[in-house]
Amino acid sequence: MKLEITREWFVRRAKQEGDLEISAGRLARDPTPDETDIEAAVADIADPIRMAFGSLVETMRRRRGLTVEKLAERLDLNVGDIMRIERDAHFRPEPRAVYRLAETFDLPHKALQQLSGNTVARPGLQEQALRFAARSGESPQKLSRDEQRALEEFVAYLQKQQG
Amino acid sequence: MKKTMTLNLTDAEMQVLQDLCDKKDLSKTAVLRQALRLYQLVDVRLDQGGKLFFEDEAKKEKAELMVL
Amino acid sequence: MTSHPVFLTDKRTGEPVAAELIETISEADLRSVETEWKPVTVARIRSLMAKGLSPADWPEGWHWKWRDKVTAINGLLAFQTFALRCEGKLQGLMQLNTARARCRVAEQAGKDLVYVDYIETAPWNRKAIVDVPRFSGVGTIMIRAAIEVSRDHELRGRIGLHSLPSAEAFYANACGMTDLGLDGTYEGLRYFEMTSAQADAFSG
Repeated sequence: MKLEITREWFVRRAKQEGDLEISAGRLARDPTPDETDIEAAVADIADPIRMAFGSLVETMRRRRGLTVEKLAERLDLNVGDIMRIERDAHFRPEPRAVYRLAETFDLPHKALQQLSGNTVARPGLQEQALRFAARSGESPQKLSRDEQRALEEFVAYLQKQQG
Repeated sequence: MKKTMTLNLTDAEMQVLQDLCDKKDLSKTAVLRQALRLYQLVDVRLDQGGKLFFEDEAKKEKAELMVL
Repeated sequence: MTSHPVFLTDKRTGEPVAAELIETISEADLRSVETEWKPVTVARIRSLMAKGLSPADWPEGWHWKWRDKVTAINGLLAFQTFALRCEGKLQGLMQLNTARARCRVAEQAGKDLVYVDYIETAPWNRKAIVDVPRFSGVGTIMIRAAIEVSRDHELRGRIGLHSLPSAEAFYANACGMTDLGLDGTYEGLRYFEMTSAQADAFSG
């Protein structure tokens, strides 16, 4: 296929386009949104925030030197759920479990429910959450100084939001 | 990157090809390339378990087109 | 993969800048959608959600999954895809279908056309998503490409598409396509068709 586009032609035509929307195609909007479709799509979007929630729980647990089993015991939750909270971004924990986590780790309740995906997140949370998730590590040992600092900054932010 | 091939068609096939060209105002090459695209598409969908139907909107009838 | 030198308008300077149109969406492009496009769209949606706006008010096409679309047509000759890149980032995507439809406009009824299955510009180019769009002209380049594919198939530039509501002005006015009205068989989207003459006018 030969495509010869001159600068002159482009300038002339692009002026007509300006800032207009150009999207075309189906399934672009749901005339009658299916609840489960929206939920699934929103859950998909919530991923980065949900990832930060998992990282936060894991980091707080490790900071206390707790194994997954020990934490599960303390929260009266099962081990599988804790692991899914920490690692599976598609798993939505029950508000009850999130409440217990907030209590145990002394974290602001509202912020934690937002992070878990149970309630709508306030603007700004995504950016902070992404930043924190990116800085959280994978090692099962004690937190590094960097991880420690990242955790403190993120928690401070969450507490400020609570107000 | 186009390759050339020679095609052996019967008189009847040649006639059909010519008729299609006239009707659609396309060259023989264009008609055959379109036929290839459609054939592949139908074939793949059939492999995926689909069925090919023609639907008569007026009569609300569907007739299955069997493709071997 | 074949690529063509094209242009986009840099909104910061108002001047055209060099861009590249590539004749197939690659894995790198799909990754760009996931790592470059998605976060921008998501950020916008979350701020709309915080304002209490429902999905009906979110930017149109927000939940399109290009990876799914491309996977579905992998290897099929009947489909052709394009990616538009500028300044190292993905600016637009398009999927064309040569086996879908016949013309509806009276003067060319029954003749074949190239159908635009999907066309989308990067979220940072859209006023619906950012306050200050970065580049413009993606639609212009893509439609020009669709016309060229049509000509390549001897279809004389004839193309058709279903526009999203917010994009109708672009196709009606900027592209000069014929408006065939809302299509009840296609999510009630407005169907546009370009005749040969309109295609010549657009690309001339």
